[in-house]
Amino acid sequence: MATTEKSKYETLYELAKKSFQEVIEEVTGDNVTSCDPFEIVTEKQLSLSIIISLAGNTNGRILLNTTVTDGMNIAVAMNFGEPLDNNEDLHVYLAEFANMFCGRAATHINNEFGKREIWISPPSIFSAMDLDIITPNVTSMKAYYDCPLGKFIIDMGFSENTYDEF
Amino acid sequence: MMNSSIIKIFEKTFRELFTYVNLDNKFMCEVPASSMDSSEKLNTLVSVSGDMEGNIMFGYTPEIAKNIVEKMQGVQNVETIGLFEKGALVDFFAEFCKLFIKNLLKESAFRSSEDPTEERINCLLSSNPTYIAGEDMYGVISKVPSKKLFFKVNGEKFSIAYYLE
Repeated sequence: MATTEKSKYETLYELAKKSFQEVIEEVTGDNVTSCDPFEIVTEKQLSLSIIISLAGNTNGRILLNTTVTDGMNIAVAMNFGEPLDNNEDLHVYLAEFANMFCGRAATHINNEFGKREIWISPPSIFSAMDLDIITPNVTSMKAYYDCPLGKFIIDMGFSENTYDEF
Repeated sequence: MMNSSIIKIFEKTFRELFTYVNLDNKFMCEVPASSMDSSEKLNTLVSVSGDMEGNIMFGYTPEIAKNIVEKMQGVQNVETIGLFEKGALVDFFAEFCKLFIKNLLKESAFRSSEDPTEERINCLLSSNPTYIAGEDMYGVISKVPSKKLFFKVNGEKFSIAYYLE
């Protein structure tokens, strides 16, 4: 049972990684691959995290961690390289990017399992100096990307459906 | 479902759960809609999918967090919010959302039986809650304006920001 669950989570992890890479390629034209683990230095700059929750047969969340500076690079790339009109647009562009990424991931996952394995929620975006985000009770796997747009860590946490009984 | 009904369900759920754990509680007001949510110091985010989808974010002070942890763990004088305390908080808000969904489904079933034009909500899924904290935190839970409700728990500010459609 444990092996089956592990391979299921690995499949979900690989599909989520594939989705991120596809969406980054569509937005920037760059082909990106995951790299060795690193830490995002957030000293003197704001951390930024995008959270998309997953529900269904598998629960969990996908967390995209970066800095506000690198998040701005995504927003500018989505705005065809033009600077943003105002700072509030950063959240709008990042929410759309997250929707593209997670919508793609949900499509890949549901196609792979041949049924509606997961549902995704609208993205939430948070920024702070020392952002502390914890989802207990999930098996977490991380993918690291150091690309021309900046440094990004995708933290995928999955668990069996325990919070939903309806 | 109409916003006024959702507010009533939040209020009912809040009262039921906080009364159950014996914490003094009171609903204060609904704050005018805002596209951006200034977050509280400590927050827990829960997402909802299915026939309705969106996010619910609970914002509270460290004092309320300690009060909830004390009730959940059956201990006294919690001083810091460590890993186990965060787990207890997350479990508490998971219970809140289960109860909220149960109340919402019940209300929807009742309303649709009274009024055939009312669409019945059959399937709602809640995600694992996520604990979020940070200094000078800024958060957005939806692209469109979300609603925010203010409560008092043991005299301290407690908020629920939500976006459900």
